[in-house]
Amino acid sequence: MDELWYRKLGYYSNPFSIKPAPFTNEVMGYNLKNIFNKIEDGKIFFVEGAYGVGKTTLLKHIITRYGGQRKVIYYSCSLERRIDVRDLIVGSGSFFQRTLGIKKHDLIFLVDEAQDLQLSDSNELFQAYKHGYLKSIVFVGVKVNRNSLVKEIEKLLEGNIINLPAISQEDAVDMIKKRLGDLDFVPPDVIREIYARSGKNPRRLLELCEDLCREAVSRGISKIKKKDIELIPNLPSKPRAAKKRTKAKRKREDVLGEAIEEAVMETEAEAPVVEELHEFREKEPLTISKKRRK
Amino acid sequence: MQHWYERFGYDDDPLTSESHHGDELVDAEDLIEELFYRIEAGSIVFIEGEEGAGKTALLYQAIDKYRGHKKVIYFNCRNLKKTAEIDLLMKRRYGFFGRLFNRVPKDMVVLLDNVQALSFKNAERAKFYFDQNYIKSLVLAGASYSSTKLTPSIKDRIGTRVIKTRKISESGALELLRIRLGEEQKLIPENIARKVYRQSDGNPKKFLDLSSELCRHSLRAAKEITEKHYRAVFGGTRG
Repeated sequence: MDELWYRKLGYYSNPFSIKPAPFTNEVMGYNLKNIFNKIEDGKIFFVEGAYGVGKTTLLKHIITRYGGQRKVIYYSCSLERRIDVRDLIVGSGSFFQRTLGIKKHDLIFLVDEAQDLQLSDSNELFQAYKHGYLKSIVFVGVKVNRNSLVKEIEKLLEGNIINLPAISQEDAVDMIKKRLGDLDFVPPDVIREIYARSGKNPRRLLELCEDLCREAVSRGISKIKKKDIELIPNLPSKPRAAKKRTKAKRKREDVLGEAIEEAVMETEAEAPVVEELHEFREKEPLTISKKRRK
Repeated sequence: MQHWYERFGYDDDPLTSESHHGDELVDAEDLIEELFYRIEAGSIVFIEGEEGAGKTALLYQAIDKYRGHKKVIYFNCRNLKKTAEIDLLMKRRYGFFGRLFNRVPKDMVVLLDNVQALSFKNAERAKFYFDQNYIKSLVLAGASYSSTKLTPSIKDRIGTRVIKTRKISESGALELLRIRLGEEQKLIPENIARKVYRQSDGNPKKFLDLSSELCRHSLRAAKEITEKHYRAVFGGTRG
């Protein structure tokens, strides 16, 4: 295998890795401090957002901050299985705590894919929260599924739902620039063009940038230009922008509208003729002879 | 009773379709390169291909590349018991103490074959390990990407990273036969091999299975396969 494209450019590892937050300063669209404050205050909150907008990155930040203190439980929900909250609380302890079945207190429970949470699970989580085993619960998912939440949790979530927005164009430029550092290999106008084709999804954006850089390096391109975007294999097409109504077009449409209106009025005036035609059809229904049908 | 291959100095059937000969994937240099790149770059990749199309052989290429550093885990999900967990596979690297103290290795390359049999729990666990960098790259192999039940979050991570295996070409099939038979290439003459290929639908496993069947029936006493043998095994009209 040839030398990897990113090694040729002087990077040790893939700068466009889709792994959540391989670079510590990369947080988009929300304030981490607020999140940490909510956890410290013992809140239950829900972070909702589409796939790839950075939910797992957020979880990773929480795990990085509290992970080494045996304080965090991560659980990914699925419709096929139930959460064994007691088991998870005991399992988070040290070797001796696990052996003796001692339950720890003040744990932070991270619930990934929370849209698949089941009602009974949310009840168990609430009971553990009520009895102080859990200090804070962080739900992360595509959308809050209120049917799967007990009323107590639903009430506690009021005002505690954080919506992660899709990243903006300038956030995208900023993210790619941070990933590449000083190297001006992918100029901002190219990033904007790729962003337009990524569906505003950071994960897609990174994948497209990676594929473009890989192709460009293999072709010996020293600085990527806008036209080089076509090198990306399976490049998604650009979404069609809504066309502006120009003055001339508006005028044309108005003229067309008037013409249609006039035509309708004319048809209405001819309505009796249509009625007569109906009468004629009722009197002489259309029949097809058996011979012809064959 | 002596097997046909023992007569010609082989210990085992050289035409077995079991994928333990990782070095004989033919016509697939670009697929191997793509797979190695995705593994190095840190991705979740899906290898898609029908039964016998070379998915496992492709995975064996990766095993050969990364073996010896305790960095690669290969698992056939069909053999993974429902109670077995991917956690244990990961922690096994550190032996007894790893399991006792919950030590999980970092930067592993995990190859999961027949992923359609992977439980939901294990799939989610693998995703978590990938996100947390315990798994550097995750390679999933299955018959069909679209019909494999994976969570939307895993499919989102795979994105467009799907490597599709191809049908083997006629020259590729002859090359495969040459590699397998080694010095005894004349056992199956080229014209017969071409006929067998035409029956295999470009599927390497089927090609090897048919070749093995032909040898088993024809080489009990004969020194090489002839048209007569071919017709006796497959009938006059086939091929």
